[in-house]
Amino acid sequence: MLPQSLDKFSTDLGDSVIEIIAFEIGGQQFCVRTTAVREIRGWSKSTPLPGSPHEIMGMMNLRGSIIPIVNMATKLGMPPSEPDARSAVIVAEVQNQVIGLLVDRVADILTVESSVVQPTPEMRGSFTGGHVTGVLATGQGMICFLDLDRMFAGFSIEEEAA
Amino acid sequence: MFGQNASAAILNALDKSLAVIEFKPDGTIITANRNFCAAMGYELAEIAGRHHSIFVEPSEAKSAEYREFWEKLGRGEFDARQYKRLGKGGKEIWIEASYNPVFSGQRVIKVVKVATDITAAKLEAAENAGKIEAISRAQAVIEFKPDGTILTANENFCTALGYSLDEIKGRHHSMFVEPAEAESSGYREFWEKLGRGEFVTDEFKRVGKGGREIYIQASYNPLFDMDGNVVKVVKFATDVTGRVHAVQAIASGLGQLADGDVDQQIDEPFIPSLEKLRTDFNATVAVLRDTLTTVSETAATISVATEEIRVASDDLARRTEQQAASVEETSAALGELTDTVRASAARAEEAGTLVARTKSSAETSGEVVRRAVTAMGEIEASSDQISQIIGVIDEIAFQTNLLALNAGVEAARAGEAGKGFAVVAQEVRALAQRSAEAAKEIKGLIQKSTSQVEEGVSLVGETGKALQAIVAEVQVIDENVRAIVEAARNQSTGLAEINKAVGSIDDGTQQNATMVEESTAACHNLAAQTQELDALIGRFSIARGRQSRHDRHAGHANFSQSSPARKLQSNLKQVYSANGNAAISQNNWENF
Repeated sequence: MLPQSLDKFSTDLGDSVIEIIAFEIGGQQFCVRTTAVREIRGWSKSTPLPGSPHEIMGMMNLRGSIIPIVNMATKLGMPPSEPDARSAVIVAEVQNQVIGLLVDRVADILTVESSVVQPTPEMRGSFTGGHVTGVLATGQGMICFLDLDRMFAGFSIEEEAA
Repeated sequence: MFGQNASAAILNALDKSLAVIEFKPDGTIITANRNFCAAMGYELAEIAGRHHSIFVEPSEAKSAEYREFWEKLGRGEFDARQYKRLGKGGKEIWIEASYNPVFSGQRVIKVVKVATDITAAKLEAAENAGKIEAISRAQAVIEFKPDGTILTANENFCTALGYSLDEIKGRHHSMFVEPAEAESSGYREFWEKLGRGEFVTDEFKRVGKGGREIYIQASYNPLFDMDGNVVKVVKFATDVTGRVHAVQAIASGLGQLADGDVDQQIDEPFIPSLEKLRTDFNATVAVLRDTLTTVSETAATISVATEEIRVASDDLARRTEQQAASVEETSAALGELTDTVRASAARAEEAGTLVARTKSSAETSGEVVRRAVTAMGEIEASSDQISQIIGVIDEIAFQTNLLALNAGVEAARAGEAGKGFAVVAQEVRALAQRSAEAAKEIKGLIQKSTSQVEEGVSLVGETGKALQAIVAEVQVIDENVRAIVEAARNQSTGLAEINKAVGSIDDGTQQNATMVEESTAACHNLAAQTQELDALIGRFSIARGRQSRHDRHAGHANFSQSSPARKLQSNLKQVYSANGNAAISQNNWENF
């Protein structure tokens, strides 16, 4: 599996530069490909969705479309973020699904060399390993590169089931 | 011419002045005139017809002489002499009478008695005779010729001079006087005076038999004949030798007494009539002696007492002086105390002023603090507004950032075509971030300022509380200062009273000093008078030891030395004029 992902990663890196959006969750920096992001919104209160998994905070009306809001901290196995005025919702398109990702703060839009992204250290048995596909070491610290497709691999099925 | 009528007129005249009674020859009463009846006390009716014997004593009436008397009258012989007769009730009456027989021819027909009442004269004669006899019995009587030759002397005289009558009869009176006197002109004049008929009464010194001295109280009385010539001199004398001796003894005793001799006594007895004089004199002297002894002893006691009083007086003077010194010290101390109290009162006053000023400052400060608090509140409010505005700016920055991010996203999604737009978006984002950072900084500053303002407010609040505490404490201090001032005032009142009391003590001390002085002076006088008294008593010869008292008198001399009290008084006066009244002036305290 790992070689595959590396392989896939390398194919992705074949473009030599990649656009990323960096954000913070629980004091830690993460990033995703800008191409996966539709837009970024300020936090507004979501309507809870009964019976949904606990990382689903509720629903939001995005210009007529109802989208689910995911608490990324919870999704990443960290203590859930408490949304405030400065929290942001990253509206992303994952596997043809539009979902809102609650993050503590959007840090930056970066253009980095794909070579800068280093593979994740091998940590057997680590359940987060599946979400983090690489690490960017920057002057301000490390940024974990998240693979949204992998994170929400079964998301559509659950949604269909729901 | 001398007829019947003339005789009747004569009889009538006699009838008026004389007592006339007529008897029968046998003595029976025929009649009596009024004079007779009055003299005898009878009424005519009571005696008419009765016998003359009722007028004589019964024993005489029965006597032969009485019978013979009437027989003689019956024979016609008259009888005239003094008769003793009895009047009514047996009253003795002497009459000078004549019983005259009246004849008719040769016969006696009646007897007329003519009488004069001589009872008074008779009684006087008897009395005179008795008196002379009595004088003769009591007194020495001697009779002289006018020239002084002794005619006779009675027994008293002879006994008094120790002679017998024969020894002196025919001799001259000069034998009874001292030869020198007999030769003197006075003696001659004495007899000449008697010869002229002047009487002499005096006490005389005479010489008895054997040269014995005799004193007599005598009167030499010339007797005259019908022609007024001195026929003899009768001397009545009383032997007063004993009396004279007594008088001399008394005189000598009194003389000695005048010289202060009270130890004397007259031992020789006086004549009985004057013996009491002697005993009284002796008693008097004894009493005087006792009295003087007592007085002397009393004087000695007084002298001792005077010495004690003097010592006590000196003591008193010394103590009064000490007291005055103490009063002076007290006065000085009081003055210092008063100064101290005044000073402390002034300090208290200053403290009071300071406290009041502090209080007002504190109150002003409190106001300032309140205003500061208000200002702080306003600053806070402004900070809040600024914070809100900053929030708005921050929000705008945030939204701008989001918009820039979205623009970035869109640019990224646009690929190569969006690259320029991406740059613009980046710049916009940078601006937004800077705005946000600036807002954040301002917010931080505002927060800091707010917290500082809050701190300031709390500090100001604490300051306010501290000031209030200060005001409260100042209040307490003020009360204490007031209490101190009040206490100082009370002290001053107390001091004024003490001062008054010290003044009283001073007055008392001065009066004491005066009295001590007077007492000392009196003591001095007393001592002097005691000395005088002692000197007076010293003039009397009282058998006792007197030396000790004279020794004591030596100690009295220092009375005349300076009296401590006198010095004291002047001292006190100085002290008090200088110190006493300056102690407190009540006005000084009215400022409080």
